Amino acid sequence: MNVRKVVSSLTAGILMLLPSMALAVENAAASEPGSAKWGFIGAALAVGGSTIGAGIAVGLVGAAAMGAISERPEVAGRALIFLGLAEGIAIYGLIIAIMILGKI
Amino acid sequence: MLGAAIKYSYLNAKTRTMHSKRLRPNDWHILEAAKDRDSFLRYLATTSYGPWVTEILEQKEQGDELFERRIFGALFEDYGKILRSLHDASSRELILSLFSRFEAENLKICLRALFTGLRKANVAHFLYPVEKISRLPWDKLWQQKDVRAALKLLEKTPFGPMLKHALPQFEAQGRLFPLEMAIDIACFKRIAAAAQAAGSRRDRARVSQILGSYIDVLNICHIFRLRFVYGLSPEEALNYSYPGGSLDLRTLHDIARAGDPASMAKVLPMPFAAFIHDVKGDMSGLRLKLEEWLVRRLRKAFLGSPFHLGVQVAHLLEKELEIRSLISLYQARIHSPASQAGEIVPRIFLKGGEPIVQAG
Repeated sequence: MNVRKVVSSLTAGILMLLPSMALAVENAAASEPGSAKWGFIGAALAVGGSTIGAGIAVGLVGAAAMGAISERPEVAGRALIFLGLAEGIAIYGLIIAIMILGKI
Repeated sequence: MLGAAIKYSYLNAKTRTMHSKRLRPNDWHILEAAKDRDSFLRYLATTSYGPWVTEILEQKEQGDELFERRIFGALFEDYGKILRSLHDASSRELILSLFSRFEAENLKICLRALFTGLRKANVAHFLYPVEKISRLPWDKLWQQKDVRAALKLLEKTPFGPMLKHALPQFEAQGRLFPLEMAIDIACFKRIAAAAQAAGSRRDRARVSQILGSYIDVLNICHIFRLRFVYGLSPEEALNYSYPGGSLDLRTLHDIARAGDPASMAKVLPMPFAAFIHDVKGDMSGLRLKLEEWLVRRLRKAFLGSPFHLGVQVAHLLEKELEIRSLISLYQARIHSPASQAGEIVPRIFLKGGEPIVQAG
């Protein structure tokens, strides 16, 4: 896989998020015109961005883990810890989104 | 950076794990203390070389002859794994060009056998087990009746042009030496060309550093051997030096013109001069010191940014040096049990050591 493929995957991911963001903005504008719509946009960006970041991280760490486990199966447990750390990036975004939505 | 990380994340982790399986100083000390062939091989069977050593232990009559070649199966397995994990053609070509040094050795044995009328069965124990990776037509080569027919078969391989160029000299001299040198030089020209074209700019920079150091060490040992073991003139010795090293022609010329081993050691440039200042002038001492310097250089590839092809090249070269040292120690255990490992094996293998100690 090269950089071009990664960039196109990221772009596709952002494009997929756009309809849900637009819907959130529209709903917010309908119920509460003003600042609430920016809160929804922020929450959507936090979840979307962190999920994409976690996807890239899990891809890289997972590939490296597979490489190491194929040579030394006994490192599988330790490799899972690093995979968990990469996956955690998505959870940070989710927490921020929940905090934002809690303020609205 | 992200592109390099994506390209090398799997391969880098795999290579580092393979590198972690190298023999530890403790293993070397136990092997050094082995009383005979069997105890040496039995301990080696408990290390990462186990699968290959077990095969040798089972074939007891032929074991000594087979060990020196079959143990390279461990290295060729790593070559295979790295080749399977690399997808771009230029990086694969670099690894294949490094592998072609072993094909070259087998090719030289094949030509010598054809030249002297021997069959494959007579020299099989001298052959490296290259079949899984090599694309040369080995079966057809062994069926040829003479050297000229074998050379015709090799025309379209990477060795073809240089062999064609050396053919008139072979016919004029009636000996294989010009063909053997042509095979070696074809091999190193291929390595130099592959290093210039490999992967990204970062790959090329790291790989050129590593291969430059490796070829420098080979050239110094090669010139030493041709000058003082085979008695060739400085010009001839220089003519047979390998391309692709970082030492320039003038420096190689100065080395080749040195009158004796001690003065040759004196004309070596930095950083070699600082590293071999206490060598007494014998070939094995010089080789050991240079190999130790080289291993330290190779281990530098594992520091800093991890995503480049230099890691794979460094691992393969270090493993090759480890296997060659292992063979030397094995022979010493059989033929001169009183010898110390320190006289045979680079000190860095025996004592571990920091990856960086010398500048340059």
